[in-house]
Amino acid sequence: MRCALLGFALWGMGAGASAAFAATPPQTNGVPALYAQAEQGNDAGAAHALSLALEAKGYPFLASAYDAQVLKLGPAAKAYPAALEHLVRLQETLDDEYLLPSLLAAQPATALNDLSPEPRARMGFLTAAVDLRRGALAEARKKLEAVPANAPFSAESTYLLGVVLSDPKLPGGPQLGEALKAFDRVLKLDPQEDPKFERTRGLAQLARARTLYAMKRNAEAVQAYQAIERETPDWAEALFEEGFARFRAGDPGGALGSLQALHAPQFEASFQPESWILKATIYYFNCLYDEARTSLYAFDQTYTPMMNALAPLARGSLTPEEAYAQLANPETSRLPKPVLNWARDNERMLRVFALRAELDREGKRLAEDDSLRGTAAQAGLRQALDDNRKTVEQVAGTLAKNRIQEAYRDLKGFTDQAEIIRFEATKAEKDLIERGVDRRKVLAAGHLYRPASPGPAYDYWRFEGEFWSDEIGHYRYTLKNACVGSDAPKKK
Amino acid sequence: MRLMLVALLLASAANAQPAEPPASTVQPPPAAKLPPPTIPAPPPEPLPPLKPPSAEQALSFGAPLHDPNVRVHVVEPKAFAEQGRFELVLFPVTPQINGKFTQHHGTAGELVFHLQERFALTAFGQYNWYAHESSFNEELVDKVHEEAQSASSLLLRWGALGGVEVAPLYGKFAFYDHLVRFSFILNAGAGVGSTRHQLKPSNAAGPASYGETGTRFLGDLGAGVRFQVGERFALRLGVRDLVYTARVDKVNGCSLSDLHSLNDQRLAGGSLSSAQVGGGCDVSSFEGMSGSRDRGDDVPLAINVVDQPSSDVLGELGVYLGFSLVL
Amino acid sequence: MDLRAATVVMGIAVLLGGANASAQEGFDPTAVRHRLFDMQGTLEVEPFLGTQLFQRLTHDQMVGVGLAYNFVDSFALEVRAAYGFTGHTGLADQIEQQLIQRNPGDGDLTTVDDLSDLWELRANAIAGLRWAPVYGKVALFAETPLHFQTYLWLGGGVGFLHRQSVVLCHQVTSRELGSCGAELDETRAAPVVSVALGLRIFAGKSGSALLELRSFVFKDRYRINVDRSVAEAGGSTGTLTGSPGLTQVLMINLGYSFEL
Repeated sequence: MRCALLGFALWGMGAGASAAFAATPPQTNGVPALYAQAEQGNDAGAAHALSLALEAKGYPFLASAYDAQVLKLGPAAKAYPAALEHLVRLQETLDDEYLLPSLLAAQPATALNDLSPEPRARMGFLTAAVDLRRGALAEARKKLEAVPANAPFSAESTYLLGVVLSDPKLPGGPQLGEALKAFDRVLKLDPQEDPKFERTRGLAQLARARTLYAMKRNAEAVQAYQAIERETPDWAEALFEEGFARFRAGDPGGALGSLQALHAPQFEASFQPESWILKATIYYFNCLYDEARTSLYAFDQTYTPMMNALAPLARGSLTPEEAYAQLANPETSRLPKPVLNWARDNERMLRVFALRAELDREGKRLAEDDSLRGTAAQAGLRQALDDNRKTVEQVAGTLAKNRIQEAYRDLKGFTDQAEIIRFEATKAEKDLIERGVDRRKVLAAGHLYRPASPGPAYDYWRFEGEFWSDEIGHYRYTLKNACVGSDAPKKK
Repeated sequence: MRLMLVALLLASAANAQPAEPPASTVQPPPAAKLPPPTIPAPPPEPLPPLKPPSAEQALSFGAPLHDPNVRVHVVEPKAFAEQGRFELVLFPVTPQINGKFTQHHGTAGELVFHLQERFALTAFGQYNWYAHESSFNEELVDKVHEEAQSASSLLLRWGALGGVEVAPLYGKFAFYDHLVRFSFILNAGAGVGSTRHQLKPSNAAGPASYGETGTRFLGDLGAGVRFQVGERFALRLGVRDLVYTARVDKVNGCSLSDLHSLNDQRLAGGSLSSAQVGGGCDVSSFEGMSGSRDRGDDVPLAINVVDQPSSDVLGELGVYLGFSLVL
Repeated sequence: MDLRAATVVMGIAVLLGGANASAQEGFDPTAVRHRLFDMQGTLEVEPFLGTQLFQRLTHDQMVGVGLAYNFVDSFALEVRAAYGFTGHTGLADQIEQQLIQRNPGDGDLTTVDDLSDLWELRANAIAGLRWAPVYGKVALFAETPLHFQTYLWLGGGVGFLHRQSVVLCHQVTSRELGSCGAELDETRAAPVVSVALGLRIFAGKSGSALLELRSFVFKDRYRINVDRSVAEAGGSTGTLTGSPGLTQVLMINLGYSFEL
């Protein structure tokens, strides 16, 4: 068992030899002794005991590697249940949302039966997330519904349940009403000490708004988007999607106002190419073709240089290692800042980056650990770290590369959409000219009024080009509609 | 509707026929086959390049500032609505800033009920724990034996007023990167206040002595700013002028003739309580000792105060820095 | 047109934190961006008028001009010069009149101390630092926003002072009327410290209105133990007090700043 290799993606359920479970307390046998015992005797029990000892000495990643070694032997190994439970706990310590959950998801379903209630519930929750990513929605739903309400992670699991229920690919169709109830349950929870709770609340609020939008309850969707707290991770996304909701609700001025927030200087480093496309679309639907073209011009000026900068990285031979370097080190990255911010805006990827950093930290600690200096255990553990580092680096780099390529693909797609809008606007203008409609006269006859104030507890400011941070998210446009008779494009 | 690219199909040339063994080693090239009789589609015409927008269409960070067809507005909810809420204000120290012959420092409190967002009803009270003649007046007395007329040096002890407050203007400012929203407030009120006059200044003979000169009608006008700090706290800073009429014709309820009667009694060595005075005259305020000083000595000083009739309209202009609790 | 707006398929956010990072990257929380009025690097000329607040014995109306350079948006160096139209108030005249009506020859207030705070700020030249950390706007009748800055000013310079005594009269023209033909007149130059709190209201790109409360503080100086009989006979009398205190002149100034 020299190579404690973690093959997370293609983890085998290899039977392996079942080993005697040596329940050796870590405090009586040090790491070197346990290492020797595990290596020489192919002792799964010693391997698990080594894992416990490593965790106690501050090497959680290495600990998980040795528990993973036990899992490779399958449920027949006596140490299997203990190792599985320990691994569930280590996942929480490492806060890894990718590698370890994938490893846990590869275990047989019956493995849960031997776990005590809390790790069983947690493992069900973690593997449900993996099922969701892989499209096994029915399985994910079953596991999430089994999470007890008093579990510490019940807020996260309820949120995830809502996500599953609202997925269009759910067998039998999405259950948006049930999904809404799940999100509402999260939002009604009292504040908790769990540092992830606020994040989960924010996600639930955003998901609630999206669900209402999917149910075509546009006005409620708008209110739900507006309930998202300012300057939180979901705020920019909420502003953008609120634009869609308002547009569909027949409020083009409100929609343009929501999008305007994303174009304020305070959001200069934000990546929002589609906002310009939506702006152009709204103008198009109001037959304001000059304004539509102006929006497309702004998109072109801002994002075409970014797309060109990304092209060699996305289309060329960007290695995962290079991609990782671009995203993990913002100070030295060559990526345009908005793209960098967007690409890093992925929690799962960042957790893998953190895992890689943890490997480095444990390697450094191992080198300075006097209690292991010169021992076979030190050499063996170092080898284990090196072997795992390759995998983690590969995973991290692949995630990073995918992100960069996704950014490029998105920009390419929006560029194509921009061309379509431009073509349609030009075509519509030509049609009007051929029919003898003077759009300028129509526009000149129109009037612009102040938007209605929702109530006395609102302050009105005439916008003059100055961007105050507290006003962001409260812009409203008033615009003329130049569509004459049946010229108005129909929304599908 | 999407742009469709027309695919061009070109048939490949047919295979060449095998040639007879040539007389020489140089073979003529095989005859070329005719291409299919199709008219190729013209190449797609590119859209005209994007032109920069005109001055009218120019955007400033996405906002059309000069476009006659589109306008941008800000409709911003107030940080905290106030309608229907009570506000308790404490002004710990209210120094007078326009003191010429008098100087007042006090503490004030106010109860504000926000009837609407920009209109409120108020109940205001102030107690001046420092109400004395000013050092300027004392200088005039000491150096040139002059002093202000009685009415001009009337002191306000306390006031209670009811009034209204409006907030016609609102604004915001940035102090470096901190944003603060405020509203300008104007207030006006009417009520009553209690006045007194200094009889004897504080000197070697003892502390200052005062005579009550009755309650007056009190009006107030003020202006300032209100800063909302969180949902339940606010800060107020402004000036307020407490205006009251000053006509001094009685001291401790005693008119000039009452005071003369008391003085005659005093000079005759008799008891002041047996003097013939009007019903409202508070003789007891001139009886007894104040420290080591006979309070009867205030009688001639009181005569000086009411001897020459005087009237004035006084305004106690003060700076009010207050802390509010919004309920 | 198959635009996304018409047929949005909302991708539901998947997984915990799958959509967003732990911090709002890409958002700059700066309070105000793209300010309409930025003073940095501007040179200003500011003529102004001022009047003294809370007059007691003297009054002062000033006219002056300032020159300021804003080396950053919130800091500026300024030099100012002003001329004051000054004099006694009616109260000072009344005090002088009533004092002259008392004949020192009859033993009535023979020896007096002169009054404090009689120096008038006839002219001044000062320099100082202006700090304007506050930039804001007010909704005027809910339409046009009015942009403003508030500032604090601290500096000093020299004041050209004039004083006319109310107790030292060298020539009584009428005892009955209490009139004097020749009071003791003094002038001097003295260091002056000035502090101001001001409001700048931007009127456009090229100028702004300035409203400020400005205080001038300088050392007082007056005579005590003045023998009025000697003074009225034309003689020199009295000694300068050792602890005269400070005199404050509080002005309210209104000016306009022209950006060069």
